[in-house]
Amino acid sequence: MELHTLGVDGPYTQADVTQLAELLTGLTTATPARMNFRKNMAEPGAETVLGKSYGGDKNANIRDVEAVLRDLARHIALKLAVHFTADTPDPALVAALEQRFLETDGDLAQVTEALLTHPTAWVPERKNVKQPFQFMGSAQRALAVPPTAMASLDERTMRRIIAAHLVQMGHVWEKPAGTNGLSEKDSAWIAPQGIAARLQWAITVPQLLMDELPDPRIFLDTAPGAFKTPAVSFAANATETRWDGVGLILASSTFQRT
Amino acid sequence: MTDALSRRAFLSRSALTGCSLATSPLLTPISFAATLGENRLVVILLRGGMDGLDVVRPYGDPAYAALRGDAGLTASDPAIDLDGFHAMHPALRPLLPLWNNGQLGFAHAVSNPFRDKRSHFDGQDLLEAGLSNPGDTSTRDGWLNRVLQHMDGAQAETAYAIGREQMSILGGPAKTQRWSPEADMVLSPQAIKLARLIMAEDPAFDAAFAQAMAIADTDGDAVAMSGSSDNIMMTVNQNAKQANKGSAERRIAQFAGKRPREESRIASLSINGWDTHQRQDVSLPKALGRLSDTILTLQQTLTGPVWNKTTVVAVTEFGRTAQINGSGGSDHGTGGLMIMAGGGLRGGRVIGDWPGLAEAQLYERRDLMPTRDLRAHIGWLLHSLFALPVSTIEASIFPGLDMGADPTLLR
Repeated sequence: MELHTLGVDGPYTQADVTQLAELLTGLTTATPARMNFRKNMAEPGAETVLGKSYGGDKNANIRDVEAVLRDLARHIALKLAVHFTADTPDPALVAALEQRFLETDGDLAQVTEALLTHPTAWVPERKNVKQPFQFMGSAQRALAVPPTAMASLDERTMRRIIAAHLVQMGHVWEKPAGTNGLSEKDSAWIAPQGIAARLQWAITVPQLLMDELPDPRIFLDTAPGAFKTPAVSFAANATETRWDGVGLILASSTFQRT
Repeated sequence: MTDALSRRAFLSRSALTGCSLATSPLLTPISFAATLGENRLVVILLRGGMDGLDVVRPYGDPAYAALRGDAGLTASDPAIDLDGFHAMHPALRPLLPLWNNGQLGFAHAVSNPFRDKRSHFDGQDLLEAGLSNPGDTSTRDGWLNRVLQHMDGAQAETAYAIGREQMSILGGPAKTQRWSPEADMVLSPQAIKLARLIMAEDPAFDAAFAQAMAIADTDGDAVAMSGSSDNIMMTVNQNAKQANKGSAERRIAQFAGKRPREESRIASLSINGWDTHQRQDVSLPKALGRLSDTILTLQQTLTGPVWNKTTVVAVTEFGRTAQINGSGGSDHGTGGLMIMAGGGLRGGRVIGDWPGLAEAQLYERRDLMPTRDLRAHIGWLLHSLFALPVSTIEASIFPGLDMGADPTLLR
């Protein structure tokens, strides 16, 4: 309720949490992605979640509760807008996503379409900082690292050139600091250690993943492209080595922001 | 602009116009120290639950021998008699000179308000949050972060979380810095210059990078390195290997010691390996070795006048059972030990209201009974070091705490 659906400010109390937990008793997993209800394993009696009472022996549908759907819509809309646009997103975008969510009974494909067709999502200004894994992924896409390069790494090498660097950037793979996952705040990533790690990775690792790094002057037009800045253009032309040039372009704010 | 300038001209010009380290306002400590005072605090979290009864052995208690056997005063590597009642574990012998100078002290039978759940994570959460009640969800901030919120003139550089681990003790709205010695930079001199130039285009990136350079420059190995990419890669790997070797604690402590010599006033780091369920005659000395290495490295790095203004305090999430278990170890308990060191400490003593070790005197007839909240000791330290009013500490730093009488921990 707190982390994934209603949000910390949602209209629920501790009693709703325990009642919901009791309501969920009796649900067992069958094959992956399927669940069974076993009546004899369910907590006896009725439960009241968010003001609505459910019998102890029937399938219950939490989505029946209108209030839940409203808060869920707001929560999901905000998460999507923050993740894909900015730490403080355009309220009009959030409202549009929320509305589409409610209209389509939470069809995420439809909500995604609303995000992609909203004018705010197309504003060229780059506000969000990529999370470490996105940064590594986008760097490899920009460099056209062949898919086999990553797929053929053994575990030890993968740890050394990817996972260990992610840790330095602040992301311990599959071990987020809290149950609420990775931070969406740019300031969590653009800290001294994080930025040092991004620069070091950008300069040293890409060359291990491909036969030949691109000429930085050409890469400048591939990666930041229209977003290249005077300093980045200067650096791409000024470096003595390809790895420094490519690394500096990847470590620049214009590439790190999205 | 690039066409009009030769590369060399641009680089030398940029060095004169604000890209150079020396002219960055972020690296000039201004009157920092004056605003913040001169005192420093280093908090070491001993994760895993340290067995205080083995580290400072209360051999003078009549029930001690039945629980723990011989205190080791006549062993080949003997425990060190501190005061005729307590004996210090031989693995802490390197700290004996500090004890003799009054720069090492202990508080026994202390704990945080954590009881009965015996989970490391809940215990550490509570220790780092500094709250009274494990169920209190009113704040997720760490108590050291709340200290910063009440320190006039505190800035991000005022406090450092050091090491690879998440330090929730410093988490919260007040900005802090984080660094681990493995986070190293090895770049060509030219890349450094160009990186400064690029970062300068984005204020957030610029500030973070300037600080990264300042830190990396003082972490013991140079940032600038000429050579092929292979050489640079090799150096990065070697540095990482060195950071991962046994000297990691020393390196962390060296780094932790250098920060307070400059602009920072608070540093926190953690030492693992205290969860001694089996053969603690083997495992505990290793952890104690790391702790004594850390404290001595801090002393050596902080040197003279700064060490005299520094207090190091080591705390753990809980003590361990009074009885040794069937595997030669001890299990999660309650009352524990707090270790203090520093040039300004009124040490050379084991303080505490000793509860006794007879079965009826134990907490739940099982663990050392805590007779004082360790937050009270820390609270008095904060009061003395940073002039925080008792009312602020009891209301905001450790909400709901009654600090009780002042144990006058400092000279």
